[in-house]
Amino acid sequence: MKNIIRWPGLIAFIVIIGLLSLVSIVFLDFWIKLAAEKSLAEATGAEVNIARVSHTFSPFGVTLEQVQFTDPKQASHNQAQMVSISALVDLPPLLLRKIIIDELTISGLEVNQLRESEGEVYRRPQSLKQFGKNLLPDNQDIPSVDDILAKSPLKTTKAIEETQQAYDKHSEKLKQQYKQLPDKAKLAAYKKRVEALSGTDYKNPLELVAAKKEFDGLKMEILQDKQKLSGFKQSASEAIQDLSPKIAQLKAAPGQDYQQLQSLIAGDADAIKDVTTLVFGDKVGQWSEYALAAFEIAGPMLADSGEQQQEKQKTQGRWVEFSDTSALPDLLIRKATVGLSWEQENIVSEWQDITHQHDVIGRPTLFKVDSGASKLWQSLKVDGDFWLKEQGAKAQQSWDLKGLKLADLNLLEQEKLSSTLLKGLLNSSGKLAIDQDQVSGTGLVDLQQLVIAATGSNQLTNAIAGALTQLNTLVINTDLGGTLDDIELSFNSDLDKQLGSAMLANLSGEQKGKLDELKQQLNAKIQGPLEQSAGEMSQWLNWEKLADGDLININEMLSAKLSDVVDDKKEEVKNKLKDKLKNKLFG
Amino acid sequence: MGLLAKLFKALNSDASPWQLAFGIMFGMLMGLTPWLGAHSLLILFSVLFLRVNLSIFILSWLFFSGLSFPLSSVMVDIGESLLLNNEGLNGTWTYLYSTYIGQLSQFYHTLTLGSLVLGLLLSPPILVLSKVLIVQYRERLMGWVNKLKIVKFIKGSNIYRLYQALGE
Repeated sequence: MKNIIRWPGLIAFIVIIGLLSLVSIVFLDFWIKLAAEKSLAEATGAEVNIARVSHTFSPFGVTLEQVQFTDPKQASHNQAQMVSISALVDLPPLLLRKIIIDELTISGLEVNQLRESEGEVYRRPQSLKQFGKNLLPDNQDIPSVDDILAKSPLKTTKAIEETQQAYDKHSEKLKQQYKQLPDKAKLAAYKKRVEALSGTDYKNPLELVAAKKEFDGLKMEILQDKQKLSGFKQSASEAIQDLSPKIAQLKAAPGQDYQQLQSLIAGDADAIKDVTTLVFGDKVGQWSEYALAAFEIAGPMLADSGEQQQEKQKTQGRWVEFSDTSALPDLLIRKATVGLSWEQENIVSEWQDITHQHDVIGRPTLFKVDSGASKLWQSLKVDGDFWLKEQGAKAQQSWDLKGLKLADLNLLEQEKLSSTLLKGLLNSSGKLAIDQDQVSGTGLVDLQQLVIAATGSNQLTNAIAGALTQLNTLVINTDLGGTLDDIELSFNSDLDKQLGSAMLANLSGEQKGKLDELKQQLNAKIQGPLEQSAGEMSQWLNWEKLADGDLININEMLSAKLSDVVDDKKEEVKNKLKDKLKNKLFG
Repeated sequence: MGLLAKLFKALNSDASPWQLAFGIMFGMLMGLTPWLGAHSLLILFSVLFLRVNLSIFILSWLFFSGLSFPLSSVMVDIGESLLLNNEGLNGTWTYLYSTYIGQLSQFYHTLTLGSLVLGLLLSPPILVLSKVLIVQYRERLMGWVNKLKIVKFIKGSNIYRLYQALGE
């Protein structure tokens, strides 16, 4: 045994292990920094910088200081930057390759901050939706009335077309059917023959049979004519029902068009159609991105971490995964406190159970912000949760912001129109839900006490600028849709109406003249079709009335006149037979 | 030159054939398997704590490290067949996967498991064969080899003298 064991070798082993441990400990912070920068950069797709790293052994914790995440959409800015990130890590699960963080504290979080130098971008994200890019039109002249009538989808034109179509559809058919109807003479002849047949006293049964045969033939003729009358009456009713509302619409259309075209006279309807999106779209879109930051940042980062590990492991041999019976997710942050710095205010959000394997822990990630009154707002409340699954995320969030003070916000900076929100109060509330990556939700942005400065460079943009300057309140409804990767936002508000009214109030003499001309042209446009269709309608009503009268006559003729004669005869023959039988039986 | 000097010094030394044979065997295990892993520490501990010839261990490690590149696909296949294509072992692997020892051993890496299994299978024959060859060399070839000009040249070199001095 003495020959087999080498005691100095044991000392050498201990020394080697000790040296390795010492080197690891000395350079631990450096290695954590390298590993964190590399893995976070891979997860976010852009450069990540960490200024300093420090650690403690009991309890085991790591602190990263001055952490900057380059925005892959805008490399000159940081998507997020933090003063420090501290994590208390549960050590035993690390040996099972499980990162379980008991407590995570992020302080001094700021979003969308300018970097000292441009960061590297490794993966380009999808391009951002720009709401302010629909540039204003160049034309500065007021369009002529003829131009407006030519290019506008007028209700009057449509109503004329529809009335004409209805008229064409029914007119010819009704005329054809009317021609085939029995005239007054024919109806009188029917009446005469019916009276003759029913008024005769038939002594001879053979005569009665012949009369019955003739009456049946006559009845067939009358019935055929009755069918024609019934068919015509039905067609006339249908035509009247079809044409009546169209004539009513034709009468109303010029008034409706006039209302709509007023804004065209004042400016270009296309330009003022969606001023809400044009002026406020970028800013409200940006605010909405803040609302979705929890899902946009946490979701993809957590999802990516698993995929990238798989990629690395394919290089030499591969790591085979077996069913995990440890009941721990690969990454779990039990409790996190995130302090977001915004406009010199600290917004603290509390998180629970951050992971990408919610099925393993059996509960969702919860987050909430409950901030009371501050210099910037009266209150801010955000509540939400998300559950990531293989089929996609399931999440919900609601927010309620009251009395946010806005100042010096650049809303739109274009060659033809620029506007700045100098002062205002913002209230916002809303809900959004994500189910299998499909986003749905609504939000309300209520702007009060607005002071907006705006300048235009042509007649139209000057008018818009003037209306914006007079704007004091504005309510914007936001609809969220699309997918988590490509969120679609749409806005609507009463700004377009406010703008239209403001522009109409300031019409020039020339514009007022054009409006009068427009009114006259619209009325002239419907005059012909209206007279024609109204005249035709009147005729159809008359025909319907006549057909009604004829049908009553025919029905009277077809009543049981001859049937009575036959029945009388039957009764007479029956009585005669009875009398004969009595005589034979009783003498 | 340095490597040859090491080899000759070891072979011609008073070290027992078993010490040299174990050096070759442990060197083979270390060379075939990926060096990052708990098994490497165990091998290093064995080599240092037990009276194994270190020069031969290092030479064997280098030799088998070179050999591991062409053998890697075979070793990966062995690992894959054991881990994925053997349903009988699935329960064992699943249990091991959730234990600290299992995670430290990195058994679920196909190359690690395959190379370790191949190395352990080859260890007994390599050990016995090495011992036999060393004995045979010392009995039959050592005298003849020592007379070779190249060997004399190596023995006369400064490196060899340095190794001798370190050995004494």
